[in-house]
Amino acid sequence: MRRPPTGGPDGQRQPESAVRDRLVRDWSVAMATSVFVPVPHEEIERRIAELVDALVGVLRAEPFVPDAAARTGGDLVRAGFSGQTSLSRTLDLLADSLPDLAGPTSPETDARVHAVLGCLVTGYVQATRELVFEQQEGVKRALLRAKEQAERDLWLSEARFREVFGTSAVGVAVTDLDGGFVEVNRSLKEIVGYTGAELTDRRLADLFHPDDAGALTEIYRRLRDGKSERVREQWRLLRKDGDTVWSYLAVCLLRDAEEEPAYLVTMVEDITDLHLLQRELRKQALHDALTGLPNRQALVPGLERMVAGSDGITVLQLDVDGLGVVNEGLGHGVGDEVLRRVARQLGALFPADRAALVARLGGDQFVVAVDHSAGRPDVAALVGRINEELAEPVYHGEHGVAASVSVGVVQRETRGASAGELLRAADNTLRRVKGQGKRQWGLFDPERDARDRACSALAAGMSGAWENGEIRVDHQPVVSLRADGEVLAVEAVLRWEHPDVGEVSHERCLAMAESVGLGPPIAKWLLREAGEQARAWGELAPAVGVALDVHQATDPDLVGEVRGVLAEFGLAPERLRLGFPTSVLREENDDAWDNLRVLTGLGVRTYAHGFGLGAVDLACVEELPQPVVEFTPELGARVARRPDSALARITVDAVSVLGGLGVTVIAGGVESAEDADWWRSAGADGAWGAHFAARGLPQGVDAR
Amino acid sequence: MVNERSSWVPQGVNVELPSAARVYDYLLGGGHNFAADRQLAERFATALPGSRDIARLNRAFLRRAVLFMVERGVDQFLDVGSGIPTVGNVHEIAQAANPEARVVYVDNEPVAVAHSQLILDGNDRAGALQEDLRNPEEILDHAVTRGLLDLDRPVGLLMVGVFHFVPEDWGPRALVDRYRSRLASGSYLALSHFTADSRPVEMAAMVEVMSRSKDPIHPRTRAEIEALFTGFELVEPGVVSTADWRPRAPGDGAAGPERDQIYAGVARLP
Repeated sequence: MRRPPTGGPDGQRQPESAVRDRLVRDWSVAMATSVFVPVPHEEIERRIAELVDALVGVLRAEPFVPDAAARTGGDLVRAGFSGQTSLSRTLDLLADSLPDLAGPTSPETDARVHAVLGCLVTGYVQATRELVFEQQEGVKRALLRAKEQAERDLWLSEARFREVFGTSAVGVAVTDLDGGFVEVNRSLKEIVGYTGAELTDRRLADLFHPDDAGALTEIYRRLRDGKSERVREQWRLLRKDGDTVWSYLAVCLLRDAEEEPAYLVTMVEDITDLHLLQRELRKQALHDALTGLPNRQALVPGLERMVAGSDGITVLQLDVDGLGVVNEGLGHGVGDEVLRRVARQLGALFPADRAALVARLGGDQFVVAVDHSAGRPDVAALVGRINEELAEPVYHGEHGVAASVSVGVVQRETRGASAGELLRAADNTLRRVKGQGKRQWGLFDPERDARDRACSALAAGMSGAWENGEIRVDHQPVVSLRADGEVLAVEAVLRWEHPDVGEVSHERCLAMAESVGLGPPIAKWLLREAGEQARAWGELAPAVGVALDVHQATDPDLVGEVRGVLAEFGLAPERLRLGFPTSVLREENDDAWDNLRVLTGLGVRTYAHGFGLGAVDLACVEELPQPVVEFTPELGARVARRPDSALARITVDAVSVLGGLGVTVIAGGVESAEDADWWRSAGADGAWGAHFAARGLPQGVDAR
Repeated sequence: MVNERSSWVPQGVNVELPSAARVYDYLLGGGHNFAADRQLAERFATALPGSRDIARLNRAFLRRAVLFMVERGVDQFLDVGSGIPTVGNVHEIAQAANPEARVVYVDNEPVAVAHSQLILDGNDRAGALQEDLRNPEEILDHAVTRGLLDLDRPVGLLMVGVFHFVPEDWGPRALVDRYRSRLASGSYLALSHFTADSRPVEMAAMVEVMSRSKDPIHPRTRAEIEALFTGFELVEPGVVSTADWRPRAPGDGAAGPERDQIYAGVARLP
């Protein structure tokens, strides 16, 4: 490994100091690039310079003691120059440079350099061994310390776990993969009622409730096979004493160090109390508190189940007659007792297990549904039995209270029926039946129902139709029968051009408006329209009239309303003509009479409409502030066509009497020229009806 | 980030499993390692020639980065992923320059932490704690950190040779952000990171070797590494090879291709 002596360009040996400095420089770079030493490079060079000088010292020492170089080898390691290539690069450099620093060239010098390098290697290796031992010692102490810490942490965590395990209210069972108990806590033993020793002989599956055992076994199998990691579900367990434990189970799989399934941990939260409470709440939500019968919420699904599972069904909707009277007269306690009694008797007549369903809808209404797949029951007999039972008076104090019910009955083949539809039909039937009095019953009438429903549908659409302008105001002339053809007045009436049904008459419009709560606004609208029309036609046109309905006629605000219309359209009062229903006048309704008198006093033209032939109607004529009556249109055509009938003769007499009293008589509902002739000859002053409407309004009074 | 494992369940100590920290120590010429570490290190060195120089250059960068920060007045350091306290520890470098300097070492490897604690026994200006770098809040609020560092003043945050252990799905940028959001203005971040930019084949071989260890490595491109400094202002010369980051002495550089395997940079938090 000896290379030719280093030298300058002239081959001369360089001065020793130059050789030394270059060795220090090269050796330092070799060390710095062979291993990381965390000091500035000047420091590296300072340390290397010391080593060079020490080696040169050993080489030149007399006597020559090469072992001293071992110390330098050790120093090299201790200075941090112990990288993988540090030693080899050191030897290369030293073998080159040391001969030039060791003294005059001679075999003795070469031998010394060899010896020094050998001892340096020995010292280096020895120091490296010591360093590695020391570092291994250090890392082993670190390892020991880390293990101690881990064990302490583990112990602490184990202690915490024991504490949680032991005191938790949640039952915990650790089982092996076959379900054998490895460990259970106190809560688990309390929840299932077994001692620890008893559990040792059992398996987890022994705690499953029989009804849930199949599903639970499957769940545990999936966990054990690693197909699921954890489960949190509600299941039933079985206590030692046979009671059911409703529990919230959380099960998870524990794996060992090799990640293989090892144990199953089952956590059991006893929610039996919660479950019972839930069941009670559910019962309360689905049962009527007073009678204990299912309520409407429970009835509908029950009825749907019955519909689905039977070929035919009979639904009875019952209404306890006169319950309001009992409540008011005898107190709600007695009323409640009546309801409980009805409930008891219905329950006895229709036991739940006999394909029957009894429910209270609320208030005084009950529903009984009977599966009549096996044959339709005799409804008359059924209702008879119910009322028979209830007719027996029960005494509350001295008051004997008997009850009766009215019943609407629907019998249906269940194909295509729905619970809601059955209940609606029963309810409609009951309403119809109740109109006939107490203790009545009736069967659902599909035709009538269809009619009612059509009417209801029509009425339900009224509000929209009014808004859309389908409903408008039409005008009918009231024509003098004496001075032939003179229009005495014009009457504003409602007309509904229904796109499907066709024209809906004024009377039907009013009735339907009433039924959907539109009566008052539509009547007000009609009055206002009449006012507006009167202004449009001008002062010379006949007065525009409105036949007020009962509500308007008795409305204390009517006068204000009429004045408002007069003011709004700048009308003279006599341009308006208001008819009061004879029905309210003959009942001596004070509000109606006040309205009539005040309005007449204001100058508005007034009359009684819907006049009949009864004595009372005639009696009230004398009170009218303006003696004008309009016969009910029902008579119009009827009497004219059967002039020999009693009705016709009485009518003639009445008109004659009225005429004698100076009362102006208008006939309504006149449909033909013949009708008009009859009334003229009977002595009537004027008439209106289809006959005149067809002739249209006179010039200048055309409808807008 | 929520740890499924509750904090009082200890992490295990297993010397059969090689640790990246001890492999690094071995490559630096240290003897603080076990047989399994040395085996892995040899395979690592075979897959990636020049590994020992790569380790040395990275370690040298750490020293220069610390000195750079000390010269700019930083006197407290948080070394995340500090590993085995091998030659040239941050506290030695920093405290040599400023005896008042304070250092907290953080590693997730229990032996490395225990080792650091042994070495730091009697040094009341340095401490070590065991935590995963994924939990910045736990690290910054740890009693050791609170006892040694004042987060209201600039801190030198050292993440040298550690972020390549962070896979993308941990959200490395968001992670740095969570540290940054807790640091005072004037703080510095030093970060170095494996890259496959210059020797993709060898790097892929090394990644393959490490993929079966508990510390797989995820090299990143220069742009990706620069993105880790988001929110900081990189100082000159930016993100460069470790050897090119402000070299001061012959030991800071290298001639061969080993000089380009780790990118490094230092940045200041404005």
